[in-house]
Amino acid sequence: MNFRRRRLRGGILLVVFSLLAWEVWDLCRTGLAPTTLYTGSALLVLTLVLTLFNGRKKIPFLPLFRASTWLQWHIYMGFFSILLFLLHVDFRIPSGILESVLATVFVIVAVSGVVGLILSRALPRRMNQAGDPVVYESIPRLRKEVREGVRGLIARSEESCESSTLSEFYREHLREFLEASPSLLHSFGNEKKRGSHQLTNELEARRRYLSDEEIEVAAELEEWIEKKDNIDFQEASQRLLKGWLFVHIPMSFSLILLGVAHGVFALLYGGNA
Amino acid sequence: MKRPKRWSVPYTEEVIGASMDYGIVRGLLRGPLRGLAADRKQFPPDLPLSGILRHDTRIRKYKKGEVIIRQGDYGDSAFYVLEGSVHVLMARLPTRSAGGRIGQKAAKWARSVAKLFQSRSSFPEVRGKDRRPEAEKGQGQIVHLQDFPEFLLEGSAADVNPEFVAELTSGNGHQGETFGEIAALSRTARTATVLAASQETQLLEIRWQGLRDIRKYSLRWKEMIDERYRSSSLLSHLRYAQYTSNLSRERSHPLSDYEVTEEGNNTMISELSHLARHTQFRSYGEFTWQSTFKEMAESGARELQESEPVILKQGNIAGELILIRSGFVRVTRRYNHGEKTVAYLGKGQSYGMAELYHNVNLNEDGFGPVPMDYQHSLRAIGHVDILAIPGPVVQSNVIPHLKPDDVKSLKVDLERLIKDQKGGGGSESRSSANMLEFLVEERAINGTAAMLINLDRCTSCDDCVRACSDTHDNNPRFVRFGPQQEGIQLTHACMHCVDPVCMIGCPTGAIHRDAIGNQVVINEYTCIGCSTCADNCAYDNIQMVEIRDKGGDFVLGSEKDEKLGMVRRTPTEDPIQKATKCDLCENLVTGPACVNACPHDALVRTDLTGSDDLFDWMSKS
Repeated sequence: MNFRRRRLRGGILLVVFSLLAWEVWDLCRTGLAPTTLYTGSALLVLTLVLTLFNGRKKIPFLPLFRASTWLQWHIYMGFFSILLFLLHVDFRIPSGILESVLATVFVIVAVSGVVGLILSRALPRRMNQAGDPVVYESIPRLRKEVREGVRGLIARSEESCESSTLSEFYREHLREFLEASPSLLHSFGNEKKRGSHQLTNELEARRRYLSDEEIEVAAELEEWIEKKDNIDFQEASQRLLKGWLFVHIPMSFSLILLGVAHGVFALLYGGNA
Repeated sequence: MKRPKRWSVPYTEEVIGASMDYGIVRGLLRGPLRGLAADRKQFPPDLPLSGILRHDTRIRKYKKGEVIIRQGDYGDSAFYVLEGSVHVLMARLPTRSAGGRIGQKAAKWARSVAKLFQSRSSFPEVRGKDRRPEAEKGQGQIVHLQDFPEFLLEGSAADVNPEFVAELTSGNGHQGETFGEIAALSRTARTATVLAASQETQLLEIRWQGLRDIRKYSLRWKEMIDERYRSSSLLSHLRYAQYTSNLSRERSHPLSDYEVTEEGNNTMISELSHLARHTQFRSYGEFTWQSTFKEMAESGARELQESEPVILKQGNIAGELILIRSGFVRVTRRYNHGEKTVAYLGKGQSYGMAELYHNVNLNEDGFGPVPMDYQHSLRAIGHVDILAIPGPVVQSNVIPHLKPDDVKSLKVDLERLIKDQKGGGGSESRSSANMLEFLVEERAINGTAAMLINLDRCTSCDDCVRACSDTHDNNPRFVRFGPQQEGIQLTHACMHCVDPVCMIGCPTGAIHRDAIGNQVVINEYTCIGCSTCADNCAYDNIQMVEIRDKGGDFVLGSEKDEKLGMVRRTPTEDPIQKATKCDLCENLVTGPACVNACPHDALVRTDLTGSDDLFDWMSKS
């Protein structure tokens, strides 16, 4: 089954289950049944099931379905849990302290999950189009390689061409660019390539002062700039791809703890309405 | 730790019940191996014949009906019949109890669950000093013909029923004969099933490293093995090839040759034998192609292509049907100033039938369009064995017996060829054309389980690497990096090649094909860390690692101290090395952990010996 068809199937199932849940909730409410107890319990169980995905990753040697199957369930059940949450709070903003904190944590988990999903689907394609893939752990080594490569090139050209045009360009512009780390949002918008474009424009402007030999060096410098730009882009993208999990996973565990506490308090003091 | 060497672990140790010592070797050289003993002086002093026989061979005994080797399985040894006889069946035994396959799944389940409770090492590449290998799977387990009652003669417990197994032969399995050498030397699957035919059948099993050395230094064994390789593989291949499998092994053709029978009569030979007699066996490229490939790959795609030996050229008269016996062939078509790769062919595939079929029909009509030349060029990728059947023989002997389905597909092929001829070719999409070029240039077509990553879906989460690490005692067995094309990365993980050149030169046979799963695996116990396999791997998918003890210290090798009278062993400074690579998680019920762990469906292990699986997978996204 191709991915488009799988998405369509998942989407249809989600809509069907959502409509069904809404209908049941509406019926229960009309019949004065304890809907908050039902939706709350279902939400807690669902949250526990969703967090099991992380546990599944720790035991890859057991035949517990593929991680990709788990992720599909995780995504659609995650969306379903948003509906359950809305039904549980009856489409109102909670008022109590614990409830407000719990609702906030839920929103953070849900939003980070949706953001993570979008990033996971959008960034790999952009990274692939931007340039060669880079192993995250090798980035410091690659940066060093670029810095040393450029330094060596500048030193050699200064010596053999007896000219300071490129070394001045290096001191004034290039060194700072090579030593800078990308911001978190480097992968988005105009920031990508801005630095490298400015540099290549600056280099182009100085071309009139270069000898033939220096023009060859300048072409090599452009390649190094391109390489550094790709490293920055890959690094920033990978940071984002890993970073959202640092919000999503700890918040999920907090959600379970707070959810259990909320359930206990609700059962003890809240009646069953 | 004593530094392991080639003959540290004799071949006898790998199978229970096998025997061999220098006394037996002397007996063999005076008895059944007298012929070989005559070449004894040809062997170098550091590789004596007696040493090879002592360490690379073992005597094995079989009861009547016991299965010795199975068709389709991979093996790294040949057999010499010392006593008794064997039957060679050209039939594949059912898989229900195939060489110990029963119970494999339960054992894999147990191993998978046990991993939950295993403590993992805190240091990389930790090995226990006394680490012994697991029993060789399949080798020590006995399978009898009685397990397959459909092959037995009624009322008999061990006699093969010739009615059910029509191609029972015993001619090449008597005392003094060898069998199994083709699969052992060419790293291919066994082409026949062999059973013990006598009550007490005694065989000398020779591991391929020993056989290779014997073949190298004994001229008469070399001639015998080469002749067997040519004749047996030819008939066996023709029997199963697409267009020739319909030919009769009994019926003769009006134009068949004659042969003289034992009684002295002239009789027409069968269609298949007639075909075999006219078929030429040719080899192209180097057997150890990987070393020149690495050099040529650096010089550029065009240079690499031009370095590949030409088997036939586009535009030449279509005069032969080419059957690929082993290796891979690049199919190219002229495109402006270069040649475009349009396909690649592997073992069992053929080229030239469409052109010959077109020309045969033309001859029958006597008029019509001009005869068709070869529409493509064929180039050998690595080492290629081909069988060439002359056009007239194809015309008289093969085409009249074509199956209706083959005729139908030939007509489709012809239409495409004529269309390409008119339109100048290039009917394939740019994307698939580039991918084909990439697969051939990288020699990825050799992989039966290549790891491909779709970079448009991969988030670099490294769950695949972690899963691999978790299943291999915290040591990942691949590097998530590699060449790429069209957003598909060919990752540096063992591809379990159809022609595993890494096995060439392994002095101990540590790197071998698993007899059951067919994966290329390393027996760490017999690996001596010589790095021959890692150097031979054309894809850099084997890593040499320095092993540590449980305390995290490197395990140092010890060697005999010459000054102290060869008695004391002193540690050397170099840590002991072992070769490591992906084993496709052969011990786990889940299969490759990397595939199971990828949450984004970005990673796949796929067979690239044909391109269909790859393009199916690519079309998913």
